[in-house]
Amino acid sequence: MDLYEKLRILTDSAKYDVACTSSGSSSSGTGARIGNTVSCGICHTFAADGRCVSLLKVLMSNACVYDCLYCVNRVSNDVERATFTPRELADLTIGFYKRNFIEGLFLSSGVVKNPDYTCERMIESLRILREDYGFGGYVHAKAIPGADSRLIERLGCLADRMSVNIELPSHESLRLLAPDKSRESILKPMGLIKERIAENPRSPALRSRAQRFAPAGQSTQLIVGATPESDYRILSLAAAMYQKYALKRVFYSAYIPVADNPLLPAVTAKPPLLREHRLYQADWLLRFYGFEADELLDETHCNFNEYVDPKCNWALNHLDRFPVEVNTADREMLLRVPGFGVTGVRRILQARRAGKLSFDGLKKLGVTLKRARYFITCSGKAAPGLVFEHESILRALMSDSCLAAYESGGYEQLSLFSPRPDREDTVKCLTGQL
Amino acid sequence: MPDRSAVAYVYDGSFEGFLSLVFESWRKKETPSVIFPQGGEQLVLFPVVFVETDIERSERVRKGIVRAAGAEALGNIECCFLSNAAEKELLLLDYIRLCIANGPKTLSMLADNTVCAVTKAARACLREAHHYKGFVRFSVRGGVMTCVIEPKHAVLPLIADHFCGRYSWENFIIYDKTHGLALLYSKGCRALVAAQGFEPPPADADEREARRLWKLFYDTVAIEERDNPRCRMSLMPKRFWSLLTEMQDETEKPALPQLGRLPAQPVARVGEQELSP
Ligand code: SF4
Repeated sequence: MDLYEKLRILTDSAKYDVACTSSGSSSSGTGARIGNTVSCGICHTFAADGRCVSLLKVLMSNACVYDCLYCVNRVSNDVERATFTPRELADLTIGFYKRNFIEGLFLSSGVVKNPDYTCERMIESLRILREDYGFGGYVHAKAIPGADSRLIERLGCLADRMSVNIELPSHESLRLLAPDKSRESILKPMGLIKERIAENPRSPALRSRAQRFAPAGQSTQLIVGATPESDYRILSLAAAMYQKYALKRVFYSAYIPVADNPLLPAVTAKPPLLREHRLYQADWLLRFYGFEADELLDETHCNFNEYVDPKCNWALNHLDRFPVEVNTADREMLLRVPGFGVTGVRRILQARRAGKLSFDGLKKLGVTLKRARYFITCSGKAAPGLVFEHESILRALMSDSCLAAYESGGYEQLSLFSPRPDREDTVKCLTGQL
Repeated sequence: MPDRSAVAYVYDGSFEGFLSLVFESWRKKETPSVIFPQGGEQLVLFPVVFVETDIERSERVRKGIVRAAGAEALGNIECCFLSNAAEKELLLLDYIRLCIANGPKTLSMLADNTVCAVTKAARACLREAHHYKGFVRFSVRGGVMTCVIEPKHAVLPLIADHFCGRYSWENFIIYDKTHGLALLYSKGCRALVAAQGFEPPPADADEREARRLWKLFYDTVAIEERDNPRCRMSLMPKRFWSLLTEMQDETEKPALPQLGRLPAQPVARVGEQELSP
């Protein structure tokens, strides 16, 4: 089989893994002959689905001996199989990197023969890249559940980021759908990786490539909509993983049906993109806006509102905390204003040191007021012509398509009906790099 | 805004030249009505004064800005200078005056029209520079990597460090067609020079194969069920597409080999500065 065919098959089988960012690692002058990493990450192109492409994302092999029901590469599925040699993979990476097509490599693999053998092949590919080519670019490597801890250790020393995908958000689902994997086989490498990362020398100056274990940290992925877990369950799990394993990112991947199986959604089901989008928004709120999972959802409201984003939803349920005075409120509260982002808040804090802010002044800062104006005052004055009342605000916060759906029936009953993502959602739907 | 004198200043187009001009304006205590770079001559009704570039004076202005308002202010000025903002020189002359008068506070005076305009221009320029870090596509031939870009703002000085650091053992040329500038790099040495009509050599077999593989990867990695052309368009505006290998339709027309002219005369030294925000 020629390289072209291999690349086609092994890209096709890797594309459902959404964790494709190149951020969180910064290196220069590490003695690499080619390549460095940039902490903010760089998108090199955007695929037709609008997702950022920054890494060569392929499987080492899709000739998997496991039988995870939700996966295209499961042994019982009838698909073309291919396997890269370590050398082919390294050459391909360097060729792409030199042309500035990519930031680096995202390497995962199906289980060929057994976890240890698979891991060894991956290690050899990365060794060629790092040692033979002196490659200093970004490498994200997947730890193969069940592989020997010494191999995981070696892999981590060659990679910038490591990840182990949890995929299914509950023990029960995992048992049903991924019979070859156990919770332990997933959590054990995660624990190991966490510990090794914690041992990294604090000062970057002291780290040579060989001494750093996955300097860009660890991440994981959860599949949304393959199994019956609620948004609340998924978000709580994510919050717990951030805490317990010091994860850099949790990625959410809307399930795309690949198998006809009574345990899974029908093959005709649409991927729950809006749900995935809401989870990313909520994840963002956890990481950068000081929210807790329990503030956003609870046992009785266990799924996100389809009509407004999680932050708006929170605000609507806490109208007593608004309006917020832009000139005096603290950062924490400003961040809770719907429509204010981290950058906007930074600009507000900076600008108000120089003088009082008005609605016009906010506009000059480039802060969008479309949503925020319902929740703020400037020097005690509300934006002209606003009615501060739940129903009118809710309507104003919804996009046209959501509003139409809302008016044709109460939104309580509509929770199973999924409206088309609105424009804002469509545009922001960049799962990989939100 | 101070009163304008009925005079036009001309400078050599470099950042040092502009700072020398700022010095001259202070020395004479006059604010010109028009400023333009040499070669960008316009029809003006005022007497024209040519201001010589004076490295020592430009250094004094540079240090003065940093002392008064901090390195971030200087960064804004440099980025705005590289941008395509209308009448950027006059704008910056005002901005520098504000920096000297108000100190670091100037940066937060975003309600002021001048500060707002400079900040916006600097931001736009940095944003474009960041885009180019990802969207530059090199062709490799005979051990040299070449690339032609057509940015709105003169981003080369802003992306130079990035590419020189990344490809430190390689040889490469990035040619900015819009502004007639080229970044030349060869294993540790770099130069930013004026250049016209540079054409990269035609692709050889290896290059064509690499592009074919890349296009395949690009087309395959998208998930059909999630097709979202509008999202792609907003994140990767059409004006960049001509640059991107993956957005070209298959085999390109064979180009005739052509030798570019690259007069080796440095025109700007901004590239040596660290400009990241
Ligand atoms: S181990 Fe399971 S999820 Fe991974 S490739 Fe094999 S079948 Fe797919």
